[in-house]
Amino acid sequence: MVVDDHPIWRAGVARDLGERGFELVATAPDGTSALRIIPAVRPDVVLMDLHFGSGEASSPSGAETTRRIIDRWPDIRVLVLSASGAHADVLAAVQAGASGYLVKSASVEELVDAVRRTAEGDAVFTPGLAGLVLGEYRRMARQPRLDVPTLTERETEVLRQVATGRTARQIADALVISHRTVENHVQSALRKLQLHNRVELARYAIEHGFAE
Amino acid sequence: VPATAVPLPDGDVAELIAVVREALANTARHGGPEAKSWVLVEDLGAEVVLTVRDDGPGVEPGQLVDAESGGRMGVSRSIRGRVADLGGSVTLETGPGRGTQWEVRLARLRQGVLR
Repeated sequence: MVVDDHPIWRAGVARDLGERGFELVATAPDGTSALRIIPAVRPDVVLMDLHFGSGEASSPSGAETTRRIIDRWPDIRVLVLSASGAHADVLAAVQAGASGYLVKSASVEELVDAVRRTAEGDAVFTPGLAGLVLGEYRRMARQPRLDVPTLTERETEVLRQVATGRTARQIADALVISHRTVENHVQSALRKLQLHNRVELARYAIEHGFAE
Repeated sequence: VPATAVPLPDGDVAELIAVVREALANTARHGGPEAKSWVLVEDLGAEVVLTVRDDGPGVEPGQLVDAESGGRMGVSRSIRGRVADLGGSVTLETGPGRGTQWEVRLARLRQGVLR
């Protein structure tokens, strides 16, 4: 499923994925429509834009839409596609549960590969996303709080290597670990960040008296 | 880069940008048409770490020393000079087929002044 406010982009992605054997079950111009359509089509993977400029004005953002999708349908995987530069929004979407991020300038091959890996349950960690996630852990580490998640030394090392363009295979060879272990370190770094975000939201809701 | 800004004094910023520019220019000159570069900035609080890496052909460490002493390896000398002037440290990792990576570490607290 493709969620994006640009019809030409949606058509292009649909064609590219269709040609590679993927089935496009639906498209939506914004978060509101996406959340309405998803129960009927139950996609495996949602390609999510972050900004719905020409969609419904009341639509939740891509990050918020991602959060609602993961809350209601935890088995659906969300891959964020965004113009480069929207760092804070990409981080918010990933914290909300997106399992990967790709810039819109990516090649068709990169897109197809990312969708396939997302469907298989892997995190799609571009160097840019690794830098963002690493930066968020660094930021949290500088806060005078004890309840923030921290990375293990190995996770830090793996994220740094991803952020500087090394492939999973190169990282596995350099650290003398398996390809699968590299992937596990990346997943673990992502999961801790997402879990922390959920705890923070719950705490905020309770403190402000709107917990369910 | 992280999602939030990494604040540094103007002078440090200008020098670090110059370091990135020189490292990228070096890749453009010697990396071949297929070489890609990555730039990572990390804010550790007490220090800032800048990493510039390419997946070009890399250089034999001995060659680099020869080139430096022969005055041809301008980039290494220039980057090291800039960072030394700021009181930071540079680690160069390279080798045939291994690409080239510059890692610059710059402490925020230098000479007793929080910059």
